[in-house]
Amino acid sequence: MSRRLRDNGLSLFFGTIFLLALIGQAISGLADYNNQQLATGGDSVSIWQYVTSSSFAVDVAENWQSEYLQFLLIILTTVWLVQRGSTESKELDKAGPESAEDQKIGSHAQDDSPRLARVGGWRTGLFSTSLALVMGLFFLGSWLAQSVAGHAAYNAEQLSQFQDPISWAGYLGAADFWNRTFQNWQSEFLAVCSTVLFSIYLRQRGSPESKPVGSPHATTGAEG
Amino acid sequence: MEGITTRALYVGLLTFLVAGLTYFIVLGLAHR
Repeated sequence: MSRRLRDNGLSLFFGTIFLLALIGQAISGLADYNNQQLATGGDSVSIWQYVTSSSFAVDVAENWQSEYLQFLLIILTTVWLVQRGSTESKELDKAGPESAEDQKIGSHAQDDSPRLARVGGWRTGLFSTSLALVMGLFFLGSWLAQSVAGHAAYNAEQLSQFQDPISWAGYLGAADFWNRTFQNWQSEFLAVCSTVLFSIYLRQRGSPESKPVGSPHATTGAEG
Repeated sequence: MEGITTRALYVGLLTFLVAGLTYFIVLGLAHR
């Protein structure tokens, strides 16, 4: 295996299975959509028509927003909240944004620190929260996309049932929007809570998501 | 050094996400 492949194994693996799953969603989503069209006397559509439909867009976007929200929340809450024994938590006495020395910023930066960590001022401040900022932007962007595409899909459904379409603002208060939102959020929050608690008592040898197999349950902030 | 391939994957992902979200929003607006 070339060094380039090995050095990027994780991102290449997840990027590949993401694309395969998205193709799987497009194919199975098309079959499901056409089954419903047949049952309600509508016309079936091609794969191209389906992947350019608001129905496909809202199904993808509602899952994206919840994933980015999950990572945004885990990144931000773990700055201040700790969990004794969990690999998701830092050491108990380190709650908070930590000192400039701990974070190697400004005059405490090392020779090989990123330039933005060294310069100080607002640029270092912005860089210091860039991970949460970008996750937050993708969360809000995906949620906006869910609302816009969901609105279009909802109105198409309304019109096919000879019911009045609603405005985008009206859709933001609609049960369909919040049902799609909460059904994704609840599973993400359950998954985070499970990881936080399971990683205290359970192990996966060799995984950085686990502590070393022989580490005591109470050890916090140590990775495998 | 994280390498040019890693930087390309990072920029590629950011571009894909921005393009994807823009596509979904434009699609939703077009189908209103």
